[in-house]
Amino acid sequence: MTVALAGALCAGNGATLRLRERDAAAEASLLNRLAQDLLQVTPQVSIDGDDALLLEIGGCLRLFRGLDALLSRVTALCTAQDVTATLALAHTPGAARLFAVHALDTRPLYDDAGHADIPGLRQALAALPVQGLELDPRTEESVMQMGLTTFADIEALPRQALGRRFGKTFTQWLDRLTGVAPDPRMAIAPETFFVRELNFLDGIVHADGLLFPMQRLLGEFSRFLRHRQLATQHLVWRITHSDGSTQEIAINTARPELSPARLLALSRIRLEGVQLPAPAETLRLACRQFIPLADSDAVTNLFGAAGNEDNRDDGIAALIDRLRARLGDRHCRQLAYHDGWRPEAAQRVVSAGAGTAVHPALPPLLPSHLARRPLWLLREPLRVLRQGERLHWRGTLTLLDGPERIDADWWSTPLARDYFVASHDDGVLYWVYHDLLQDDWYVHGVFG
Amino acid sequence: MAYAELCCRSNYSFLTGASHPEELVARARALGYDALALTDECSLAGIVKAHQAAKSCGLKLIAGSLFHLHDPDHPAHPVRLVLLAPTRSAYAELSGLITRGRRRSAKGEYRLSLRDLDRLVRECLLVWLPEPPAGDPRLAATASASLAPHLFAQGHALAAGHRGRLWLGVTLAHGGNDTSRYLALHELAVALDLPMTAAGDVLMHERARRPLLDVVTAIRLNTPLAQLGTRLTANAERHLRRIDTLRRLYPPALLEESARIAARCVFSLDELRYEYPRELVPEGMSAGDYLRTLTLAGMHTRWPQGTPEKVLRQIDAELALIAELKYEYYFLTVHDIVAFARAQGILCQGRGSAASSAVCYCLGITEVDPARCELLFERFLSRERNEPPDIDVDFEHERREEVIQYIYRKYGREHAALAATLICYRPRSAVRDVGKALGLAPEEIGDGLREHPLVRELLGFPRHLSQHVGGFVITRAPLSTLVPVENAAMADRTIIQWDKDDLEAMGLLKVDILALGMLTAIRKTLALLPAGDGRTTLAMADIPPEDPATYAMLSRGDSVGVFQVESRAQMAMLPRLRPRTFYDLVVQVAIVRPGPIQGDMVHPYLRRRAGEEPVHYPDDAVRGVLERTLGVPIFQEQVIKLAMVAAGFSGGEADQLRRAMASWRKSGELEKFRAKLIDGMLARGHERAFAERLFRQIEGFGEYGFPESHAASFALLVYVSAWLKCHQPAAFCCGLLNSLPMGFYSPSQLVQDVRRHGVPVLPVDIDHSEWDYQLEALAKGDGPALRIGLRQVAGFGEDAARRLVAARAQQPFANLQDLKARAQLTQAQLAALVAANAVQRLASHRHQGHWEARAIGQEMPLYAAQQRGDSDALHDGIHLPAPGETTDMLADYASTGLTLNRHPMAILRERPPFDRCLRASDLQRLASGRFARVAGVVTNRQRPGTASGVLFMTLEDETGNVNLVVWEATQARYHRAVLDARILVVKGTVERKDSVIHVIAGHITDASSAFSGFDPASRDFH
Repeated sequence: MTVALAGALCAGNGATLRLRERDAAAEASLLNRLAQDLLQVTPQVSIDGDDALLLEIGGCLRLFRGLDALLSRVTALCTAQDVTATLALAHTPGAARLFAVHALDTRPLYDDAGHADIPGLRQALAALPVQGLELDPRTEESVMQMGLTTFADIEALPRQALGRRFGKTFTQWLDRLTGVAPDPRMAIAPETFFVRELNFLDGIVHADGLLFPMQRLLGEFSRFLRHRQLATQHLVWRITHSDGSTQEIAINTARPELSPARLLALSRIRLEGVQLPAPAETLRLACRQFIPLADSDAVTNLFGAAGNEDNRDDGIAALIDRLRARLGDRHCRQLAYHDGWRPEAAQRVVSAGAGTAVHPALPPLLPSHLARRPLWLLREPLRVLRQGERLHWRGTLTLLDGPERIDADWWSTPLARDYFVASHDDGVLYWVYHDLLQDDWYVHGVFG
Repeated sequence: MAYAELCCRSNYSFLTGASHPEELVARARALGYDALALTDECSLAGIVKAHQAAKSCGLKLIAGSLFHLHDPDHPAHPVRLVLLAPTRSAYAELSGLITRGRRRSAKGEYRLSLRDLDRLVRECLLVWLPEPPAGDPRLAATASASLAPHLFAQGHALAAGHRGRLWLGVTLAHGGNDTSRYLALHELAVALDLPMTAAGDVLMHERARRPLLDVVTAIRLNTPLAQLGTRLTANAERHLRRIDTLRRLYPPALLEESARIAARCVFSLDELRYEYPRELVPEGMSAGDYLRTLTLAGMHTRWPQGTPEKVLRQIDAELALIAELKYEYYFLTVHDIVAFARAQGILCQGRGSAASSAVCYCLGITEVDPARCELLFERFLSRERNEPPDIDVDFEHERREEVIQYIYRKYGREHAALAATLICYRPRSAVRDVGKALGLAPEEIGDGLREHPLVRELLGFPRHLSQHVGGFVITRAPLSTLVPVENAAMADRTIIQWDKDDLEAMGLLKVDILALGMLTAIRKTLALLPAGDGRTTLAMADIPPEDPATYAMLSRGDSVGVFQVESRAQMAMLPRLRPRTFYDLVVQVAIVRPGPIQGDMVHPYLRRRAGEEPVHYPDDAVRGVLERTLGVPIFQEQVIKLAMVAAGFSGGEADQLRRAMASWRKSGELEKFRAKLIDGMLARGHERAFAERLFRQIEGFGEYGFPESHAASFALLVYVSAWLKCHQPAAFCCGLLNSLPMGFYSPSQLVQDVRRHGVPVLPVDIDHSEWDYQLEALAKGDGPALRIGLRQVAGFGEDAARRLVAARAQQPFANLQDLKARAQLTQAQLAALVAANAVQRLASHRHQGHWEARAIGQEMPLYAAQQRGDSDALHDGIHLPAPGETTDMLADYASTGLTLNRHPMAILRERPPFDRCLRASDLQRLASGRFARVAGVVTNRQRPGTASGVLFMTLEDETGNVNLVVWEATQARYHRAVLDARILVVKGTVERKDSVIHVIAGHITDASSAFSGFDPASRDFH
C-alpha cells in the first residue's frame, strides 16, 4: 500500500495518518541486548538477519530440567525487554526460522526431554509454501513459474536437476535446511566489561587512603584496555563502607582515555570531595562502556610516558576534565555560536566539552555583521526614556551610527528593531535599539 | 525629486524574487518613479509581462539583467553587475550575452566571465554593485581600497572596457554599517573616477511580501525557515521604497544619477519587429506571388473539376488580407514544413482556427474543405484582431521528431527554437513546499494548508522554464537578438525564455508542431491495406465519404478505437445523437465536452434533434448563426458572431470576449461582459430570458469551447478512423495496437473488442510473430487474423525481436537452447518468451518451458557435457504438470496484459457470488429502474470535473463492459473498494436512455481475492 492510498483511506474515514521512520539502529540495539540476555539460557546465541535470534538449546535442556522450563525462561527474558517474540523449534536453524516466521507451533513434535519427531518436522517443512521460504525474489519467481507451490514440490525434484537450474547455492541451502548438511552459526560474544574489587581487611579510614588502591586498579584496567585496544569515557568507583552503605563516584572524560595517569589524576580530584561515613571495606572499579581505539582520537603515545602533552587540543581536554572533576559536570559550561539575527539568541551555553568536540562551535568564517556587535549584551534590555529628540538613560545618549534594522522571526516571535551605536555622557559606547513594534527604546549592550 | 529603480528582480529570478513583474510595475508607478528596470538574473523571461503592465499603466520600463561574472584573476570574488539596454542594439547585445552564458551551461545555469562582457557588450549601460568582502570587519573602520584590492582591480578592468557607460551602484538597506560602507564605496568610486548611483537591489514590491521572500529562500536552499539563521535577509528593506524614504537615506546626487541613467534609456520592447526567414521564396518572386502560385496549384489538386465560386471568393479575400497584414511568410513557412512531412510520408493535419482558412486548405496545411463547411476566416485572421495567426499542425506522434529535426537543420539552431512553458506553483506543490519551509511534519502537510496565506501567495509563482510541447519560433535574424535562448532539459533542444503568451503579446509568430497518436495509427492501418491503382499505399483521401454503414456503426455506440468518440461519455452520446452526416460528427466532437455539458447545451440540442422541442429564432440574424446547430450555440465562432449580431459587439470586442472566455477561470474577466452582452441584446429587442441563458452558456463554455474549424478537422479523423474500423477492423486494430501508447483503451480492451467483431486473434508465437502486430491470412476467402506481436511480451525488447526474426528466417528453432543461442537471447529474454507462452511448439506448457529454459542458464562446467546437442537433456527426465486454466490466465495477464483464453470473469462465473451476477450483455434486457447484480474487472475509473463528485467506473466481463455510476455517498461508504479493488461485485439499479445503459451502484464488494495476485492495470482519470 502506498502512503498516498493510506492517506486517502484515512481521510475518507476521518482518521489521521501518522508517519514514523523506521529506526534500524534502535532495532539492532534491542536485538543485541536481548541476545546478551539470552546468553543466560544458552551460550549458543546467534543473530539471524535483523529480526530473529537462534538459540541452540540441545545442550542446555538438562540444566533447565525440561523443554517447557527452558521455553518459559526464554519468554520471560523477552518480556523483560518488552519484546513480543514468536518461538519455534526445529531440527535445523533454517527450519526453525521459517517455522517461527510462519508462527508454526512445533512444540508438540518434541517431548520434554527434547527428543524430536523428525518425520513430523519434515512434514511441516514440506507443507510450507514456496513464497514463504524466503528465497531471493528471482529464484522464487522462477520456482513459481514452474508451477512448484510448496517445499515438498521442490524436494521431489532430483537434486542435480535443481542444481543445474538454480546453482550450487540453492542446493546447499536445501541441504542445510533439511539437515543433510550442517549449518553452523556464529555465536555472539558476551559483552566486554571490567569489574575488579579490592578488599581491605582493616578498613580505610581516610579518603586519601584510597588513592593507592585506586592506582593499582587503574593499572590493571589500563592493561585490560590495551590488550583489547579499547578506551573509555566513563567509569564508576564504588566504595562499600563497614556499615554496609555504599557510595559511587563517576568519572567522565571529554575524550576517550586509557592512560592510567590521567584517570588517576581525575579520580584524585574527585576524591578530594569524598567523605567516608565509615571505614571503607571494599573499592570496586567498574566499566561497561568502551570505545575501540581505532574509532576514537584518543592520544596513543606508544611510549606511554606521562606528561607528553604536546597536543594543544589534548591540553584543553585535560583541563576541562580536571575542571569538571573538581567542580562537577553541571558547573562547567561553554559558549557556542548560534546562527540567527536575534542578537540575544546568537550564543548558547552548552556543557563543556560536549560530545567529542573540544572547541566551542564556531563557523570557519564569522559572518561580517558580528564585527558590529558589542562585546557585552545585557541579560535584559533596559528601558530608555525618550523625550522629543533626546534619549535619557542615567544621563543622555547620543545616537552615532545606524540604524541597523533587524526584522526577523515573523513565523514565531516577531522581532523588529533598529539598532544604533550611541555614546553616553560618560564616554562609553552603548548598543541601543528602537523597538519598532512597541515604539520603545532600550539599551541592549556595551562596546569595549 | 526624480528616481529610477535600476536593480530589481522579480519572481522570474526563480525562487529569489518574491513579486510578479506586474506587481513591481504597478508599485513603481504608484510611487511615482521615473522608470523601473526589470533586471532578473541572466534572464529576460519576465520582461514581456512587465512591458505589458508598464504600457497599460504608463510607467517607463527599462530592460536589463543582473549577472554574477566570473573573474579569472579573483575566482573567489565574482563581479556583481546589472546591464541595462538603452537602445535596440544594446538590447540585442544583452539578449546575446544571456544566450551565450546559458547555452554553454546546463539547464537552469549560466557561466559568464569578464571577458565575455568585454567581447560582447559595447552599448549596454553597466551598474556595478561591489560588495566589501564578507567577514572583513576592518572595512567598517577605515575605508581604503588597499584593503579590498580585488575590488579596485575589478573596477579598473570594468572601467577600461566600458568607461562612460559604467556606474558604481550603492545599495543602502539599513545594514548597520551603511555609513562606513558608503564611505568605502565613495572612495573606490573616486579612485576609479566612476560616477555613483543609487540602486535598490529590490527583491519584492512591498515590505509585506517579506514572509514569502523568506519562504522562497527556504525552498531554494531546501532548508526549513527556523534553520536558515542569517542566510535569510536581516530585514525587509529590499523593496520598492517611497521616494521620501530614499531621500533620507541616499545623497541626492545618487538619486538624481539614477534618473539620469534612466533618461538615457529610450528602448521599448515595442521596437522589436519580427522578421521571417527569407530562404523560402524562390529568386525573382515576391512572397505574395509565391503564395498565390502555391495556392493556385493547390486549388487544382483539391478541385480538379474546378473550384466552386464561393471558395474562389473566399480565397481572394484571404489572400488580400494576408497581403495587407503581411503574413505571407508565415503561411509559406508552415507550408514548407508540411510539404517536407508529406514528402516523407508522415501524415499531418492542421487543427484549430487555421482550419477556417481556404488558403491553408489549398496549401495542404489543413484538411477541412471550405466547399463543404461554413468557415469563419475572421476567427483565424482579421484586421481587428491585431494579432498574428496561430497555426497548429498535428503530426504522427512517432515521427514528430523527424519534423523537429528538419526545422533545426533547415533554419539552423541560431534561428529556430522552441517556445518555453512556464512551470508555476500549483496547489499541491505549493502546499508541500510551504509546509516544508515552515518545518511542519509530513503528516501535517495536507489539503488543510491550501488556505494558508503564504500558500495562496505562492500559487502561480514561476518555478522554472520548460520546453513547450511543440511551439517553434523561426526568425530571419539570429533569435538571440530578439530573445535569449537557453538549453532545455532534453539534449539538443533549445528554448527561448518567453512562453506562448509572451510571443502572442510581442507579435512573434510561432508554429505548433504537435503530435497526434491517431495519425500514426491511421498511416499504419493504411499501409496494411491493398492500394490498387498501381500505388503502394492507400491515402486518407481515398476513403469514400459519407458511408452509411460507418454512420450506422457509430450510431450504435460501437466506437472503441475511433478518434475522439471512444470515451465513455462520447460512447454514451452516440446512440442519442445518431450521427448521419459529416456535420453531425463535427457537432459530436464539440458538444461532448465539459463546457457544453455544463452550459446546458447538450440536452436542448438532443431534444431538438429528436424533434421533441421546437426551435425558435428571435430574428433572422440569430437564425443565420444558430440554424445549423438547431438554435444551440455549440462553437466558439457562433458565440462571437452572436455577440456581434445580437448584442452589437464590434469585431474587436467580440474577440476580447472570446479571450475572456478562454481564460475566465483565471481572470474573472467574463463578468465585465455580462452587462454589455445582456444590455446589448435587450436593446436589440431580445428577451431577457434568452440573453441570460446565452450568457450562462458562454460561461459554461469557458475554456472548453471548440472553434468550429477545429471540430471539423477532428471530425475528419473521426470519420476516417470509424470507416477503417467498420470496413477493415483487423487492419485498424492492428494499426492502433502498433501505435500505442495512445487513445483511451488498453491492448486487452482493443483485442477483446476486435474479437467480438469476428476477427480471429492469434497468440504471440516465436514461429510467426514479428515485433509489431501483423495481419495473417487464414483460410482462403476468410478475412485476415490478427497476430499478436512480440512487442506485447513484457521484458522482451525490439532488438531481441529483430534477432529472433532474423534467426528463424534461416531455420526454424529446434529447441529452447537453439532459440536462445541463435537469437542471442539473455536468460531473462528467454524466460519472457516462455512466460508469454510463445514457445508452445518447443515446450508444451509454461511450467515445462520454465523448467527447461532454466536449465540452459550460464555455462556450468560440471554440466557442460550435457549441454551439447542433446535436447532431451533439457528436461532431465522431469515432466511437470501443466498449469490450470486460472494459472494460465493469470500468467497471460502478467506477461502480455491480455488473454486469448477464457476471460477471468468467465472462469469466476462458475462459482458464487458470481454465478448470480448478470453479464454486461444481459443488461440489455432490463428496463430502467430494475435491480441488477453485476461483477467484473475494474478497467477504468473516471472522475469528470464537471459533475458533482460522481465517479464513473467500468467493469469488464466476458461479454463487454458495464458502466457504473458511483455517487459521492456511495463512494464514502465503500471507500476502500472503490479506490483499490481489481474485481468488484456491485448491486445497483439500471438506468437506461435509448440504448445506453448505466448501473447506479448501491452496494459494492471487493472481490479481488478471487484471484490472488491478479493485477490488470486500470486506467484512472481525474
